[in-house]
Amino acid sequence: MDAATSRPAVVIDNGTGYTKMGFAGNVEPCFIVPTVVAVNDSFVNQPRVSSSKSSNWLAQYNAGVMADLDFYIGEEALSRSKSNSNYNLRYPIKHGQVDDWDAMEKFWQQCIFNYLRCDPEDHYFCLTESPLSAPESREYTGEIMFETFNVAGLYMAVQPVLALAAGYTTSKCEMTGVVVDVGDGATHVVPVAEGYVIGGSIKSIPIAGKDVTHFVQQLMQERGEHVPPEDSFEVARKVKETYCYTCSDIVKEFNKHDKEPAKYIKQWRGTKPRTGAPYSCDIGYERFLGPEVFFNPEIYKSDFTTPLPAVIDKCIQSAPIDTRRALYKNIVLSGGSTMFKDFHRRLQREIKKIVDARILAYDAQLGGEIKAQPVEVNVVSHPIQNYAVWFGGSVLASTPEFFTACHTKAEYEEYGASICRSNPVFKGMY
Amino acid sequence: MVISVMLFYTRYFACFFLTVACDSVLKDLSAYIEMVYHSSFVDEEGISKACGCPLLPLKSHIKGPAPVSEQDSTDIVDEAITFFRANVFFRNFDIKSSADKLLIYLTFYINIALKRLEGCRTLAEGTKAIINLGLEDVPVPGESGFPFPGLFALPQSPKEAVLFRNYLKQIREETSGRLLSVAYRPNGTPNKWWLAFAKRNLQLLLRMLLQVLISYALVHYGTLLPSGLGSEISLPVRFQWIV
Repeated sequence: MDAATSRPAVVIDNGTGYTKMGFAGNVEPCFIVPTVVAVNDSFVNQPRVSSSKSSNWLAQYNAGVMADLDFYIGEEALSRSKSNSNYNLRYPIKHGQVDDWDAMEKFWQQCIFNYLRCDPEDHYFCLTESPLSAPESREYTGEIMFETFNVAGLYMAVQPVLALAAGYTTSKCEMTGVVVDVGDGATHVVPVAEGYVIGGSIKSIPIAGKDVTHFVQQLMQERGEHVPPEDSFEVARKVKETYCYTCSDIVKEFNKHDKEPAKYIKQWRGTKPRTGAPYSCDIGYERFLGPEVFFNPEIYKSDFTTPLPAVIDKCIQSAPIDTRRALYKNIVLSGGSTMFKDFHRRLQREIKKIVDARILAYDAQLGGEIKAQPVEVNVVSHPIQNYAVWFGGSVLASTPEFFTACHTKAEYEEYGASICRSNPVFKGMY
Repeated sequence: MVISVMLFYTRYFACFFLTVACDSVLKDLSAYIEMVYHSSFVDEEGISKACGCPLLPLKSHIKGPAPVSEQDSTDIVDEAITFFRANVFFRNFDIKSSADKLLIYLTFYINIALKRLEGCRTLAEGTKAIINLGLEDVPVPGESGFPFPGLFALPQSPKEAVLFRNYLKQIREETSGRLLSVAYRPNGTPNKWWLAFAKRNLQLLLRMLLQVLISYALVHYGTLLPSGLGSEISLPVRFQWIV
């Protein structure tokens, strides 16, 4: 036990698109890999041969066992599945929740033994989960961690609380705020008051990083850019990450692009996968139309039309009234899709517009007798937004209170997996 | 005595209901920021109308019923072309003024024109395609080919229908001319940044946001009531006193 507390804890943040893993106390994660497992399915559907061909059966059995151990995760999985048709891709996490526990167990196995190369018995583990996940999933996670990997201790943190912890400095530890987590698969707006998530006010919207990539891909295809079709999604994703930015006004941006094409239109160079020939294409107005999807979802999808600032506002309005001012003051961004340039500024401007309009309406109702105090809206952004959740986990797991808040192996053996259903919030830095 | 109590009670309740209705409507509206681009020609003084739509001035050399506008100001056709690439993505359009109706019609026409220009590699071919489009029939509201049934009012007389038809012909020709100048580069090759929009289909849902007007009326009417009746806090005190 003492050995485990003297070593840094392992922090793994499993997201729908990417998993961030590393050791507590570090500034950035050791590995950021896509959350995907490539399994060898070639022996699963073999017909059952009769026992007369016993040698064949033995060979098949061995091959089957080997097939079970024969899997890859992350980038390796993606490249293997492209080159070898025996491997099928499985995405264990959908919309923030673990869907395929088998694949998830395989994923963790590779993470711990192959990537991080640590002995789980010597470390405490800090995992993350989505705010609306069922307690049963925490139980399953605890079972897998304690039974299969024999970890020394386990703590399952809620992602938005860790994102808030990422904003801690030595002087300011705000445990009240709204976390806008825009990931690859799902976007959640979660209000947190004093470290506790206000479950009833959590709002989620179906627009996330993947949708922005699809939109960019669609725009490039409409214009007839010469991108090889099997690569077009990947190219769109890289274009999005490199060149997209948030604008303040669409029409003005169009005009800017028309007037100075040399400054705004960028070139993308790639090589065709089959022939190896280089190609290049132009990147133009999808640079600013991509992130615009968050502020006007109807340009991409017709079934969902509420813009992100309106959703944040509705979420705060549905929270208890005494927390609202504090929530407006501390809107924290996290997740890869908030890394667009000027995203926080545009978001702050739009939310402030809504809030000011409401105060004006109330003032008009009251006829100027009582003036409402203006509400301060502050959208916080910091350079580690991309993996803010992981960083918050690293910060919290490096405090001494973390080890007392974890569920230990002894507790698991005494009480069973149901202890994992609840994870107490502890004050990290103060 | 009883009558005065009843009167007082209903006045209070009316104010209460007004503030509640106003509040809910405004809450609904405040959560929705309108991002579509609207026309700036909201002032309709001295402009003749046909089918409920103002015949706005154009910077045009083409003959027609539209009044002439100065050469260095922006007219409705300029607005339609500037806003087209943004508005074509939107699915909801709230109409704030009658000039918006014309803007919608022009946006739709630009979309059709771009579709005709899709296969044309040179400016000469494009011009031919547009001329063919201009020779086709121009329907007016009430006729079967008109794209937005119900948006414009029906013409009151055959003269009004003829006037509107001529205005539409003129504005379409003007738009085609300016569109060709942006859709093709100076050397005659197509400008892909414009022609990409030929593949976009215009999907506008139009909503007359009369709520905006109603809520404005409510807010202003609400403030006209005597301020003493406005606050709920004073009610129990008042009520007891009168009874």
